[in-house]
Amino acid sequence: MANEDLELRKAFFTESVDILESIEEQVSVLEVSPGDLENVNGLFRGLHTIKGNSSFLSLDSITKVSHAAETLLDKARKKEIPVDKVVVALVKKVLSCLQSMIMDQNTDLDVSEPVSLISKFLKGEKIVIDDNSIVDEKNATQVANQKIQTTKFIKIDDVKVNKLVSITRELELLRYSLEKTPEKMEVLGPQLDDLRFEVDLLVSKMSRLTRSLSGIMFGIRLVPVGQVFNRFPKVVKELAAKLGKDIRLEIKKGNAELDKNIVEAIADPMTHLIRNSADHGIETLEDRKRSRKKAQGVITLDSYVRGNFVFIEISDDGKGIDGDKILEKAIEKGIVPKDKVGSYTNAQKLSLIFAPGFSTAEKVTDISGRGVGMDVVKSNINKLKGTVLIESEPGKGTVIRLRFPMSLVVMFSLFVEISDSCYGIPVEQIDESIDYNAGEFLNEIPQGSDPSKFMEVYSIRSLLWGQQEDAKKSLLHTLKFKAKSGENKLFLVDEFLSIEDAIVQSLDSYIAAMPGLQGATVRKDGSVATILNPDSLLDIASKVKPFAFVPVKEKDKTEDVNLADFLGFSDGSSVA
Amino acid sequence: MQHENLSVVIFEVAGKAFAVDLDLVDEVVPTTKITSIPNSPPFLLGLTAVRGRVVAVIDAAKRFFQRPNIFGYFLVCNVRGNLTAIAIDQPIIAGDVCIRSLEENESTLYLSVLDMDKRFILKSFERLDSEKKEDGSVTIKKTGQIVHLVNADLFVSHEMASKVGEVA
Repeated sequence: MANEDLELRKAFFTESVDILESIEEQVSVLEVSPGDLENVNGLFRGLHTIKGNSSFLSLDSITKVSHAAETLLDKARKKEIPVDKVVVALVKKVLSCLQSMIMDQNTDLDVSEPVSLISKFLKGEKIVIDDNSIVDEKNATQVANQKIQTTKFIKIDDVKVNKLVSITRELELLRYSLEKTPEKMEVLGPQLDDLRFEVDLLVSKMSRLTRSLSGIMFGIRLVPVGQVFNRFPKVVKELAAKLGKDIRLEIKKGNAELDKNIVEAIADPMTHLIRNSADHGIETLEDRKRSRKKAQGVITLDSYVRGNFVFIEISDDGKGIDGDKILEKAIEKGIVPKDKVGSYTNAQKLSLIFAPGFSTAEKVTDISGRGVGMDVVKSNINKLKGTVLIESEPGKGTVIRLRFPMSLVVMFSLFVEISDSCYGIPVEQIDESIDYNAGEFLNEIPQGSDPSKFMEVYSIRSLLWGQQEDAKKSLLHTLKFKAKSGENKLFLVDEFLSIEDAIVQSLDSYIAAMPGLQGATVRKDGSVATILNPDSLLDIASKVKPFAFVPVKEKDKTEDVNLADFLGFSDGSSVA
Repeated sequence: MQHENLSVVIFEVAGKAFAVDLDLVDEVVPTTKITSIPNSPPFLLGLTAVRGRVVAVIDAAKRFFQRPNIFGYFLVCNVRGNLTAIAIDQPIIAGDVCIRSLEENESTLYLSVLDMDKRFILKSFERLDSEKKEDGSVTIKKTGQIVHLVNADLFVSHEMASKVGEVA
């Protein structure tokens, strides 16, 4: 067996053992509450995943038996058949088959009995199930199959790791307060000098230790996102062969890291997305030729960090998705009412492919299945506190971005005051800070002037809170962000407070969805400061009129003095 | 008298008694400083720090009765998988509580005078006093205190929760 195959099989078995565990639980729920539709759906998805994965590895018995059970459950979830004792018994029979094949890695078991029982049952024939029957070992033809050693991990109780992380976080806060102590002692007088020096020394030692500890603790759960990409070249190769298309998978070397649980859990939704790209996205050879595209279609995987988020990108250069066609289909299927779609943006139209029950597949195939793919993808990503974003241009291709908040991250941030509240902005996202006299602000660009010689000024107070700017101020502090769309935009803040390390915590996803924010941090005094998201602020700003205009200033060393002071730069050079 | 034990935290909001399942409650702490969040619904007061963790604060009075109220404590609960602080007047009792479930007509009567969104209420009950005597027998006495068991999931609205993983 080729090494590549071994790796894939290893991954399949490791993943399937987990899925089987949940299937086992779901089967016991099925016995006591057969009417639980969510449970039936869960069972169906589990079997669907096993079927899909096994079909790529040509583990035919597993594919066959899980396909049969999937068909049975599909009818049950559509309420075409009731979930009665026979259905439960059939599912249990399949589960036992799968357990024998997957746990013992004996993949060539004879599965004709459960498969034919299910097919007879679905045809309405009477079948007799012996509840105690399990797959007869004697009938199982054991083929010499290379046993695969699944990777062994040391399991550490999640609760314990979380407790350690939480203690580390409290320790960090303590460090922040302690670091300020020598300063406070200084004002008490020179007699305390020796003691101050001693405390200073101890604090700096402790700081070093807590910093290293934090570094380890906050990273202990993180693994490279790219790890999961390695399983896909084979998947794509097989897909291309099955579909008769020429497809290349390009993996970009991103360095993003995510929580181990997330990385393990995204493999499955990613597989769905990649299958969809190959099946529906990349055109047939003839179609590509007709569109004057290169014969070889490309699917690209990438991962990167932006602000407090990790993005995973799956893009293809296929035929793209037509928002209007999607909308049409969604109306046809009764997913959205016809009278409410008038104002739908293209993004909203595209997002309908994630609605339950939506499928653009003309027929059921064992590649992209029965249209369970996309809504399962969304619900799985949501469970991991992630978001799915989709962009597509008909004829050019589709980009699907999975966005996950980084659970804990230390960001060197500038703290500013706006309307008596404190906000943080990651320094790496700030280009420069510029101060203006109130007199320099103009309501409009003077007639006949070149607009490119003016900067647009936006008020964060008004963008976030809808409040007016204080007209009486004489000196105005502005920030320019590093984002590409921020080149001509400045943002007003009231005061610069400090620059310090902030442990940024991700927000509950419904709060994170509110515009302008990317996280929050606990400050030294125990209060919470939200961390602003420059990209999102720029986005909001692009939809409103600027508060004022100012002439572009030549980059003058003295202008950066505020930010530079905090950073301890004496020459006033830009911090960014 | 028909009675049963319920494992809950009973607390007061705008002078009325409510309860949530004990399993959902992490801790009860006196209120601390709240940082407001832009563009958020009125009942989402903002963010606060509980033991170094940032948690959202939801005003129970605004959520239930659409009116502001003075609150003294945060009930730190697990709402839709997230730790959330619910601002309440004060906690009353936590643990196994002896109760009598109200008959449907009785419950309807109590709820009809309660000027709030009924979707929040899972069921209503009367809190009972149970006293163990020296001979081991237990006497149960009525207290007249009506408590409404709330569905903690609904503290965060469906609209807000649906923003979770919003597809843009």
